[in-house]
Amino acid sequence: MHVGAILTVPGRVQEKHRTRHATFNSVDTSALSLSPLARWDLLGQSVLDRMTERLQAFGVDEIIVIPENSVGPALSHTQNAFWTSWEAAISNCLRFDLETLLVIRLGPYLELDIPDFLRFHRETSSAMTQVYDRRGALDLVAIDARRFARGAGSFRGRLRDLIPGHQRYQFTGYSNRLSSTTDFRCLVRDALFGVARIRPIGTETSANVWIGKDARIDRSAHILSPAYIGNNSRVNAGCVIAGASAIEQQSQIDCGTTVNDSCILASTYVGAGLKLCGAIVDQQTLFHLGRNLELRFNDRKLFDRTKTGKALLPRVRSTAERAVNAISDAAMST
Amino acid sequence: MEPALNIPVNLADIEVSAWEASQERSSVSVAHSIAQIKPISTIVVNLPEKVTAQNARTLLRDLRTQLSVDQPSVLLDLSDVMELDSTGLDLLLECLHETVIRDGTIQLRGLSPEAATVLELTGMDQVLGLIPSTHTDESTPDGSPDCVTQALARSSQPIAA
Repeated sequence: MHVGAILTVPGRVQEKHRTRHATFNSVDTSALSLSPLARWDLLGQSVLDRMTERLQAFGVDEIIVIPENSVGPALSHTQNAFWTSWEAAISNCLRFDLETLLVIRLGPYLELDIPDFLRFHRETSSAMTQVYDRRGALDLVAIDARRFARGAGSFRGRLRDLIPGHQRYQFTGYSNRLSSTTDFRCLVRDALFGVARIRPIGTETSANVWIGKDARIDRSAHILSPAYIGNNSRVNAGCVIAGASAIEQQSQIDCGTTVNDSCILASTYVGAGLKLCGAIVDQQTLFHLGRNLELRFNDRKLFDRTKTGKALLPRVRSTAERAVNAISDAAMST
Repeated sequence: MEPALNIPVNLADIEVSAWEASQERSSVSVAHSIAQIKPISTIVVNLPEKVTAQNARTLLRDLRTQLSVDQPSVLLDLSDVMELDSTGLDLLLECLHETVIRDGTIQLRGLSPEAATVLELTGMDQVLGLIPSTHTDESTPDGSPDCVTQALARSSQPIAA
C-alpha cells in the first residue's frame, strides 16, 4: 500500500493560565514559549523526528514536514504562506499515486499502531478516518488519496467537506497532547519511568539511567535513577541529577548544581551552585512549571548557551599559548 | 490651704517602684521591659523594579546609611522587583551582612514570583531565612523564623488567568 504523510508543526499557542512573562534585563523577545514543543529534544530526539521515524518504520513512503507559523508580527501573512505550502505539499504527494494520505498536526505525541489504523481505515472504506483518544479528537487523519485527488476546489476545501462523514478510530494507547510545557515535562517523566515507549538516545548504564555518547560525568556527581544525560553533555563535580530529570545533548551543568524534576534542553549551560526544581531551561530562558512563569536571564553566570567543543579548542590553545609566553617573558626579564 | 508638699524625690525609688508596678500589672519578663526602654524601629526597604548591576551600588550605599543603627530590624519588600541579577543577589547578601553585624534581624516581604524563583534558584531563600525576626509589629506580616519559606510558598500560588 502506498502511503504518504503531511506533518505540520504548529507554533506554540499562548498558554491559558500564564499571565506573567517577565524578562530579566532583556528586551529580547525570543522566548521558550514561542518554539514548538514538537521540535524540543526529548531524551535525545524531538517528537517530530520520532514521529517521522515511526512513520518510515511502518512503511510510509512520502513524508513532508511543514511549519505552521513563525515568530513575527505579520501572522496573517504567515498563515497564508502556510496554507499555500500545505496545498503545494498535498499536490506533490498526490502525484505519487498514493492510496492513503495521512495528515498529521504535531502536537500530540501518541503511540499509534499505524498498520492497525490503516487497516481500520481501509476496512471502513471511509473517505476520512480520524483518531480519537479518551479526551476527544486528535489531529491525525487518514484520507482516501484517490478520492481526494478527484475532488474539486482547493485541497483545504475538500478536506473540510470530508469532516462531516468521517469515521472515528478509537485509540486507547498512550497519548500526550503536548499543548503546554507541563505536558512536555509529563512526557519526559513518563518516558523515563517507562510509561511511554520512548527510547532514550544513549546507553542504559544502570537501571533507568541513560547516558549519551561522549557525555562526561564527574565521579563526584550523583545521578539518581531515572535520569537521562544526552550526547556530549557534561555534569561537573558535586552535581545532583534527580527527580526524573533530563539533560539534553551538548549541555553543561556546572559544579555543585542540583537539577531536580527538571529538563535542561539542548546546548544549555547551567551555572554553578544552583538549585533547579520543577523547571525547563532552554539556554537563557527558564520556565518554572509550578509558578507558570517564564524568565529570561541575561546573567551568563546563571544560564547561557554552551559553546561547542570545536569552538572551545582554539580558545584553550590561545590561553595556553599566552600562559607560555608570559612565563618565557618573565624568565627573560629576570 | 495646706502648703505644697516638698517631698524629696528619690529617682531610684521611683524607677524601682515603676518596675515593680509593671511586674504586678503584667507577666511581661524583665528582658522585655528592658527592651521596651530601648525601642527597636523597623526599617522597611522597598526595593525597586530593577535590582541589577546598573543600580546596585547606589542602592547599597543608601541601604548602608539606613542600616547604621544598632540592632536594626529590617524588612525587605521585594513585591516590585521584576529584574534581579547576580549583582542584585549580592546586594541582598550585603544587606544581610550589614544587619547581622549590628545584631539585627531581617525579613523578606512581598516576594514577587520572579524574585522568589531567582532566590530559590540560587539558594538565597535558605540563606535569608537563617535569621528569624524576634520582633513583631503590625507592619510585619509574619515574624516566624521560616518567613522566607512561607513567603516563597505564598508566591507559589498559581496565578489565575
